[in-house]
Amino acid sequence: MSRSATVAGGTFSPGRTAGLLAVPALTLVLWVVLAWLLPYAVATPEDAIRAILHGIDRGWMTKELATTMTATLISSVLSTVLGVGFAILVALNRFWGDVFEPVLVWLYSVPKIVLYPIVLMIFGLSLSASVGFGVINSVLPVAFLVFGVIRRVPAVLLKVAQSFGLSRWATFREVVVPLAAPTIFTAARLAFCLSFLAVVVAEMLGSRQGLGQELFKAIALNDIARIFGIAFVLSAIAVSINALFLIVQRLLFDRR
Amino acid sequence: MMGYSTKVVATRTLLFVAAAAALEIVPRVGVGTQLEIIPFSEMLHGVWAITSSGELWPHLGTSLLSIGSAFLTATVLGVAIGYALWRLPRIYAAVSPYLVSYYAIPIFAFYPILVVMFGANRIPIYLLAAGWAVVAVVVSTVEGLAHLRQSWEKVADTYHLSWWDRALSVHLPAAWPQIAMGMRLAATYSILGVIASEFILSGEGLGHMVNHHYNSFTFREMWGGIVTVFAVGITLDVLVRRMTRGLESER
Repeated sequence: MSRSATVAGGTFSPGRTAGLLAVPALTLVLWVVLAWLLPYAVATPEDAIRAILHGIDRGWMTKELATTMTATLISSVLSTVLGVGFAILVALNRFWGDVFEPVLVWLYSVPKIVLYPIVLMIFGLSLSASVGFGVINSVLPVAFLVFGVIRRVPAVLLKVAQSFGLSRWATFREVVVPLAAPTIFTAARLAFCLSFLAVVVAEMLGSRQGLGQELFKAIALNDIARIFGIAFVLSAIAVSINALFLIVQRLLFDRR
Repeated sequence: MMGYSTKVVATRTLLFVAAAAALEIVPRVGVGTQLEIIPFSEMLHGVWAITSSGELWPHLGTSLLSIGSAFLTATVLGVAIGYALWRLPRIYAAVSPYLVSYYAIPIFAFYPILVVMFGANRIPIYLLAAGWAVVAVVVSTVEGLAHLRQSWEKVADTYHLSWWDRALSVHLPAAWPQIAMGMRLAATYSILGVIASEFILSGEGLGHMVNHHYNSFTFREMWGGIVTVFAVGITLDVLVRRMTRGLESER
């Protein structure tokens, strides 16, 4: 863990910072070149930023973004709570763990997007449809991840707990939770990423609100600057929140 | 007395039967209404309807072709890029924070851009799925190579292997368990990427078929499509699992 230790310690050498800037810089160069080669399909960064500023000025950008983020937040919290809860309930019992493990694996690989019509029919064109679709998409991967780590708690540790005469609840609190905590945090990050993706897709497919819907409108209008502006905003937010999760995770768990 | 594993499988089967029975009975007593959730037997009837009319096959073929080519591209390209990044640690150091964040990006926001660039055909779908899946293979390849043993390098030294032979017969086989894991993820991403893109905007493929029946209010066929997509997803996953495990035992 020497690499993460230096990061957690906060050593920022000029070389490191330059390295971190290399990817965004290259992406920008590639974007400019593509905009120059395919002006009918790719908006210039300048036009995209102008579209974003225009959206902020008119108010739709901030309003729709707030809607998207609200749905994502509710979906992330629900998926984390439900997924982690289910994983703990099932994985702590060897028998039920064995019964459910392959089922979780199978359901993981199924493209849940085909269930969107059902979600729409149940919830209608509303915020709850986006949230419902977000939960359907993220709850299983969350459960699967936490399930794996709880099932792999070393038997030795459980035996030690037993020899100390710990109750089931105390064993869970003192042994299982500290071991699973970093994974549960990762699961929350995963829940955010998958919920965000699902909410944006749900808004694109059929919804009356959200940035995904604005994106779809921009496609219908063939407004390339707006398409690029929205895609840029969505990616920037996703990467920033993900980075925040990673930094907090390092601060919390990488002290060993 | 039943053996433990028999009991596990029996319980699992019972759960499936119970789920199917619930799916059959609940709509029949009127919960969920006929429109939203139809009885399980009707769903199977829907599968039969799209199969016997021949509607399914071209859509299935198109989707499978895109999924397969996206998966193959992601695997080959992913291993190659992962290997190159492992040999160039300075570049890897610059790229790795972004690799971790890659799956946070809502990739489908870029689908419209690809459609504008390449037209509403199979190319954007293939590119999106392959581009989404490749990073899983890259990350797992680098991870696998990071745990190489020094002694294996020394063996390769004594045989005076060229870099190509060294990569093919020492490095990549050593990293195989992680690469296999990345390939399984790549398969899942390829399936999701293709079906979801077809669902959002396309004139063919399984995703389009389900969306089309939803929009035309032919719900039995829609459910038939949903059941088929689930079956395809699970089958492909099992296949990739078998394949990667088979290769592993050959080592």
